Amino acid sequence: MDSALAWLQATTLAGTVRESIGLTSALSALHALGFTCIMGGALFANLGRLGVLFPSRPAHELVVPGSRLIALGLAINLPTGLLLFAPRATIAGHNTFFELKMLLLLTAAAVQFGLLRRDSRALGAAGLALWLGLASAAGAFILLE
Amino acid sequence: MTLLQICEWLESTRLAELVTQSLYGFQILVAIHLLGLGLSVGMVVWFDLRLLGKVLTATPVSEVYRRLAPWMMTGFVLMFTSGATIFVGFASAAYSNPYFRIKLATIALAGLNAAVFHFSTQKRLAGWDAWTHPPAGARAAGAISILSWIVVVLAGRMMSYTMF
Repeated sequence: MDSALAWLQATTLAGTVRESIGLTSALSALHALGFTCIMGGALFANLGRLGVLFPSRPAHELVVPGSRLIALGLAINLPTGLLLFAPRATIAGHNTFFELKMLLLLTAAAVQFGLLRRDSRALGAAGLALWLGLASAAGAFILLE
Repeated sequence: MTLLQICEWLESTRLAELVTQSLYGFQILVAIHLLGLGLSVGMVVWFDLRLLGKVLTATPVSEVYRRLAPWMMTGFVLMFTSGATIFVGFASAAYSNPYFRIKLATIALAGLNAAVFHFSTQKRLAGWDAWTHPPAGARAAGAISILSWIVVVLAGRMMSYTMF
């Protein structure tokens, strides 16, 4: 694991990002946009499952578009996140908040997309808790690193 | 008193000292700002998509607004109060930052767009409330809103890399 992180940090791509504040800030700005998509999708889909937002509508009317917005956010954030991670891989890779962020990301995505067609309040509550937990871990990683 | 002098005065206040000097004051404010961003813009986009006829097309526009408004408003209150408080701590640097100016101008555009929608297009809402695809004016308002908030988010993050 340590050697993989060291290799990633030593790549030309990581060096390019590290040397360019313009590139880093642009990647970070896109990452913030992806974060907004994920949060918007997660709130819409899971508050829909909980029957809070539009109780008279079938939950899938909210879960399906909400999950699509989450997918768009992930499509933005996975490459931008990797590029932002690469220049500081050896340090960030051992950060507790980063590890928690990755664990919550995998779990939240598995619950959201693996159980896309299932509607239950418990699933909505779990999804909401996982995505909000992910946002908290991401915030703590950025702010307290 | 010039705008820059007002910014310098803001930075000399006790509130600015709390933002910049306390151990976790800045971090907590940024966390609240991000939470507000996710809640406000994350929910506004669904109303905009309804105006564009892309989601919840079987639900009247007025009901979509009524259901989403409490979430959007809570998010905007969190985002604007935390943003204003952060601004007090770094007012001079923000004043001269081009991304801050882009962000403020685009927030103003989003506000103007919402006002035009409210006072013009929405007045005739009863005629198209249940339409799957709302009229062109409403669709334009939805598209302008989404584009505006994308610019606000991008400029907001660019700011933090060019200010400190």
